[in-house]
Amino acid sequence: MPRVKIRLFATLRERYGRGEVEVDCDGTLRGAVEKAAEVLGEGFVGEVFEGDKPREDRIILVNGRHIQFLDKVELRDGDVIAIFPPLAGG
Amino acid sequence: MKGYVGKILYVNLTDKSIRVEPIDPEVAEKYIGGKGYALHILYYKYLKEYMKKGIAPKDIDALGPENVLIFATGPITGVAGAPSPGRYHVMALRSPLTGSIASANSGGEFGPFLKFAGYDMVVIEGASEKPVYLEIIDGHVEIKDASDLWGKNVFDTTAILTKRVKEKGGKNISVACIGPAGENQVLFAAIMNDDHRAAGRTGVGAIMGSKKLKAIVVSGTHEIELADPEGFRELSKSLVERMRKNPVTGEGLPKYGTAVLVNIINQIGAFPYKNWQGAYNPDAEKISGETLAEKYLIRRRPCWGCQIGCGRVVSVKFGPYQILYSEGPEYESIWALGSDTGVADLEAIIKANHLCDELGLDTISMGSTIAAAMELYEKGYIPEEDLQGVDLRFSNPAALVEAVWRTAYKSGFGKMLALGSKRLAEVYGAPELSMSVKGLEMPAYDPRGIKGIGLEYATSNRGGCHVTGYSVSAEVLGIPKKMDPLSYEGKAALVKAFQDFTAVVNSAVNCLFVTFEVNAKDYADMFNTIAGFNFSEEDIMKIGERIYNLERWIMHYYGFSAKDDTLPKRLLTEPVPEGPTKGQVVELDKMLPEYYKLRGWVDGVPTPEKLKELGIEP
Repeated sequence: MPRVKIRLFATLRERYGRGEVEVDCDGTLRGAVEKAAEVLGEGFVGEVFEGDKPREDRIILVNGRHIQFLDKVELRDGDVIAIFPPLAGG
Repeated sequence: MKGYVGKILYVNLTDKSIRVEPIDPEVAEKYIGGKGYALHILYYKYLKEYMKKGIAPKDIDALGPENVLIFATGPITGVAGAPSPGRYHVMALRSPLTGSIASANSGGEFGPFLKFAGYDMVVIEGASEKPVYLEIIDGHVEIKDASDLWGKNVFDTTAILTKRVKEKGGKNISVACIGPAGENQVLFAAIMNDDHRAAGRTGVGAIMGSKKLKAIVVSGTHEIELADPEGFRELSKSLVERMRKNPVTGEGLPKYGTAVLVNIINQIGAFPYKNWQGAYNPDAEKISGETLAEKYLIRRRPCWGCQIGCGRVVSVKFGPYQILYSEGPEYESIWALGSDTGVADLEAIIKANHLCDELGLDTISMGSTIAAAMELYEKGYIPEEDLQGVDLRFSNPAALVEAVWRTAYKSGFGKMLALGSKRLAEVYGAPELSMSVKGLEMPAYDPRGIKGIGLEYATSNRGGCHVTGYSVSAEVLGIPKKMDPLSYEGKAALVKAFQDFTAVVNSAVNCLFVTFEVNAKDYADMFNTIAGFNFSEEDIMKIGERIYNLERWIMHYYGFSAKDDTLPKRLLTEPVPEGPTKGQVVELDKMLPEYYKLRGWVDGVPTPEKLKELGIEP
């Protein structure tokens, strides 16, 4: 089972009281998020997924790449998943 | 004209003459106000006249009396209930830093209060022999002696002038001024207003210094009339509600300010590190918006009439970098003074940022120039003795803070830093180490990890600039739609659209951040209800294109062409060494030809046909 890091930013970090969780998962994004929800609380799955799809209003990166632009997400040991709420600046 | 005050103030500092001209409705319909209208004035009233007299544009000295400096608002500026209407734009014929047109934008109160004082714009001609300041109270204008203010910093100058006008019973007082950096003509000196707000880029503060104009203080109670007050009320209600519900303008920016970008831009591997030698900063968390909010934030300080309120008030309570009240630092400033210099001490960054405000310096160019000096020194180009004791090695917080004040006063090595990174790197024989485009230092996004912003840096009229075409919005943040940052596809059209739309925002003049929610159709509605125009969404984009092309056309007289639309060699040939974007470079030729085609430009210059199509008289 790959061990991956889930990092939270901005309001998500504040909401869950921590910036990082490390979990063993089945190699899928869904699996990793469900494992993290065991630590962060059940509601965390809905923070990232809407039904079975990742939420459109979240910026989700795996090793720095937006998941929309990856052919497929296959998590490996040491991978970092970064989750951001909508944000902007300039 | 409704929405406008209807008056442009012309002040000649050489012969001390003052005159007022009305806003021309035909020009306003084609160029709105702010940046667009100012460009029209600069080209038709000055540059073409100079050429008729036989003065070559290339011979115009940016720091000579022939340069013309304009403070410009637009119809949306100062209209209560309009989205974030607290800004103004500064333009000048030439920038001392870039040799192109000077252009900078600022928030705070100065823009709205200039209108309340009775003018849409102030045009400064000539140069004074002795220091002066301009006092504008309820339409009445005086050029006053500033001998006692010369040498004073931004905060003291602002406090003294505010007090003087307050004692006369003045309402809505605001001061725009220069600090020692502008007086000493540091090539990237800023114009500061309301203490901490900066019209930062392209050295507009040095131009003010060259004219011996220390400050402009405005005050007044002029009321702006609207063309369709009822229609505007309805529109305002709906726009404000949309901005409140939008997670970015309603929550993200108010809560964390712009510094919230530090982590995401670093996470995608586009956060320039140590003079762009890298694009991933291992210490980013220490200087992030989250850390700033947790440890140093006291409260917010919105610009006049702003519904977002991204401005930060911070305090460092103890230690060598103590500062009990400061504003910012913004994302770009944290990056330039921090990540670009390798400094991971947020307290030192806050202090350096504070000094830039106090002394009147552009934080982006300041940080980038220090970063260039650090690389030049570490690689042996700058001899140790030239530094006169300032240990300019990467990651040294004390050297960062010292370098800032030395630059403003041109003290010791500060006189070299005051030249900006391009000239500095040339002097020391390694021009490729200046991370600038057209002489303007680039901001906080590495285009090796966000390709579209590379095209923006290369083609932005004012040089290495992000805010004239903020493609990062789509490429990283997914607004209005997600686009792959590492792909070249569709980036030419994206950048052109952002550049054209932004030209309208800077002519409106209100805040670019509203465009995370407010679109071109909304701008048409705002102009129509505020000023009585009859614009469609297409008109808005056409006006933006016209403004962008007029600016480019003026630049061609200074000798700018396709040869200048490029990036530092490092970004084109040195792959990112590590992090998520490892191995990436920018292949500009995958975007630039398509961009020129969409623009209708040949060799980087608008064709006569393009000018005609846009209604620009060459």
